Amino acid sequence: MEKDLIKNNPVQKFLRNFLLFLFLLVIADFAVGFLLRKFYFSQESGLEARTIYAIDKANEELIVLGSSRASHHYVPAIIGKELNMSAYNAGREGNFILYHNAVLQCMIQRYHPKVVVLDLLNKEFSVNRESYDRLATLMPFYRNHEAIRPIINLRGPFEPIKNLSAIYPYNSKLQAIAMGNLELNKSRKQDFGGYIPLERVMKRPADSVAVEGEYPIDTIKVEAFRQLVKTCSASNIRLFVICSPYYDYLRAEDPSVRIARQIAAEYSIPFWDYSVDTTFTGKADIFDDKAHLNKEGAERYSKLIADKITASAGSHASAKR
Amino acid sequence: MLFNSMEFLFYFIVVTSLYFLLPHRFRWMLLLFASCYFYMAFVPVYILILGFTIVIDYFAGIFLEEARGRKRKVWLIASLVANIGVLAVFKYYNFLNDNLTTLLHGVGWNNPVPYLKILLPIGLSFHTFQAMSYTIEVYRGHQKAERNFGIYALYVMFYPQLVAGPIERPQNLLHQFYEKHSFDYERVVDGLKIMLWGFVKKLVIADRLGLYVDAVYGNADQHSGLSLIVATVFFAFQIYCDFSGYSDIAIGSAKVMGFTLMRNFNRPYFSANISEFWSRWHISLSTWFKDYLYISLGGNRVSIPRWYFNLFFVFLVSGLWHGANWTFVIWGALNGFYLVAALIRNRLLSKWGWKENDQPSWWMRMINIGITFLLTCFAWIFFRAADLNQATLVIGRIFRFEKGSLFTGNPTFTYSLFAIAFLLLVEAKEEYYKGSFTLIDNKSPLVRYSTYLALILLILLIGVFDGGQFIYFQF
Repeated sequence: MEKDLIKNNPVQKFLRNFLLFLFLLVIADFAVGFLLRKFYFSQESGLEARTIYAIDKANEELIVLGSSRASHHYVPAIIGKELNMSAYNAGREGNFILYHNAVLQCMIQRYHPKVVVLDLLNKEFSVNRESYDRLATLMPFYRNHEAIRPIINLRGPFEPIKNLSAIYPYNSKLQAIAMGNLELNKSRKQDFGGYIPLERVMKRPADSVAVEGEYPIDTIKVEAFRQLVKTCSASNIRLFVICSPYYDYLRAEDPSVRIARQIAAEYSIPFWDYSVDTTFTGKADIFDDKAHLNKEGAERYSKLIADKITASAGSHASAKR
Repeated sequence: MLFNSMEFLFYFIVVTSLYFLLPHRFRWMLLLFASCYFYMAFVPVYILILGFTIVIDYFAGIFLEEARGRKRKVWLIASLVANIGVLAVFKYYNFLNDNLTTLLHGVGWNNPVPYLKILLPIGLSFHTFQAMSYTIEVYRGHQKAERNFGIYALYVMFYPQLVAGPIERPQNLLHQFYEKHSFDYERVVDGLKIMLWGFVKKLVIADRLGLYVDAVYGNADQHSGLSLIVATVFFAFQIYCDFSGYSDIAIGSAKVMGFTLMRNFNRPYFSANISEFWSRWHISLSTWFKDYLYISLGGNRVSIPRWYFNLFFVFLVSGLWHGANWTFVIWGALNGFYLVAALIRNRLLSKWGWKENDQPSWWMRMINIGITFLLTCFAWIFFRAADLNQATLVIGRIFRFEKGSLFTGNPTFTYSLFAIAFLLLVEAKEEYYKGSFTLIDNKSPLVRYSTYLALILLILLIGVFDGGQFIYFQF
């Protein structure tokens, strides 16, 4: 009788079936998530593989951090040879200071590079929702890297709950995982220590561009930059903050660059601004597009940066003596 | 509060649970409170605008019912003026002022009228239209004036359809707030299934396509005609899944609590002509315009030229309803033109012996579906473009047939193609094989549960979790 009552009670029937479904969902999520995790971390090529290397495997003495401008502008082979140290370019396109800081925080859990080069963008600290969305790149590392969790949690208050799912960290990464595990695209295999060369040349003359005036600054990003600077100082890592060249002539200093310069000065960190440097700016044959040097430009620029780091290291050493 | 947010998930669970736990007499209070909370999660102060129209229409309804003769019309006009006035101020004031500035500039004068620095209240056009339908129906004698202020407020504010419809009629919705809805297992599960499909449409299809569309339309001058064609086709599916996905979540969440909302979409891209398209697209708005504007203008019981004018005018107003921009007006005008042109064509063909009711062969219907889709896509260019300049740029690039590479924006392009193929497969099955190959409604619990799981895993795998708000919120 009592059994029949339970059977006929729609609320109890719903709760029973709902719990059963939830149980099946947890199992399916775990099983699919397990497979995704296995294949994600076994990628051998592509951008995801580079991020995995930077966070979990890199042990080079010099690390480059930054966005696409970093990944296209700094040639580890040249910089490493000039400085006589191993080098890796951990730049990742479409990412901002929150990502760079997260990568560094993970790295220093394993080892301390001797030198870090941070390439800074114009509008690096601007208020921009997209830079938080882009942190999705780092979600596969959420479970195993405590240092990354507070940074990913900046995406929204429900991130810890969403990350309970084993699939969610691999959201929208299915194609990348497949490509990274298959030999469908051989060019993806080419890796120059994280550096990605570009081949085109600019077809229009350089413009004189008015930099967007003052814009709202995202204090969370400024704090991420400050944390990165502090971490390097505390870990005895030589940090160089650099703005690499743009093709067009920018007529004024960008507010984010100005703030970064002030913070770098507070911590006596070298800050070099090449965003408008006539050695590069305006030279159509060494730019792929208005924000990125091509291979030839990157090689010239890397040589210049390596020489400057060498000179700076010399003066740093003599200052210490 | 967005339907596609974690906040809504918690909100829905709490509100629905409390709804069934509370005694019937308190349920409308809970729903009213929950609806206020839902609306105030966007911009709290805008609830005052909603409150203003609710008070006006509540009293207008009562006075309308009690008044006799011309006074009835006065109360109706007062209500319509209040509602349209709110729309005019918040939605159309700056647009009209913009056009005034252009006109005056043409004759060398400066426009002295200041602009208003206000945000458009979310879903304003939806709830004002729903409120207007109430006073019009009371005026026509089809609906009794609601005496319980709270129930009337809930009719306007019922959270599932508050900000993006379906635009309900009082005859369908008001009485449901008085009915006692017990927990019905089948109905609750059906509602949840409708919601799940709505989430798939929004997160897996609409927001995914939106990434591609935004990238191309955001820099239209940088993209080839081919990319712009693809982006326009993608937009056709994006806006369909965005809006019908919202409607599904609204209809599903209301159904869980026992409320029946009207169907808003019926696989519109399987329409074989524009008239059929509009009987399947945004049904609650199309029928609103038909019931309250088209018929008031005389409908088709007038001379033929006047009939054509009525149709064209209704679509022109429908365009303006969507947004205060000439792009929307042209979008509406284009649809009106399509419809009138089809009527003229039919009249000419009928003179040559063709009967409108003749069933076309299946391949003829396929061709008609293709042509209707292309015409709709052309009109969508105006709907999506930021302004007329961009619309003409896009059309110019598309029809110049210039060579150019296709922007893929990997992996977005691949996922987008998959999403569209998936949608078409599901909808074609529903359209042509309804009742066969059932998955989500299969009798076997194994198949049913596997389908639920597959859809949720699909959302987790390729759904866009950082997507923006629903496109129709801006209207």
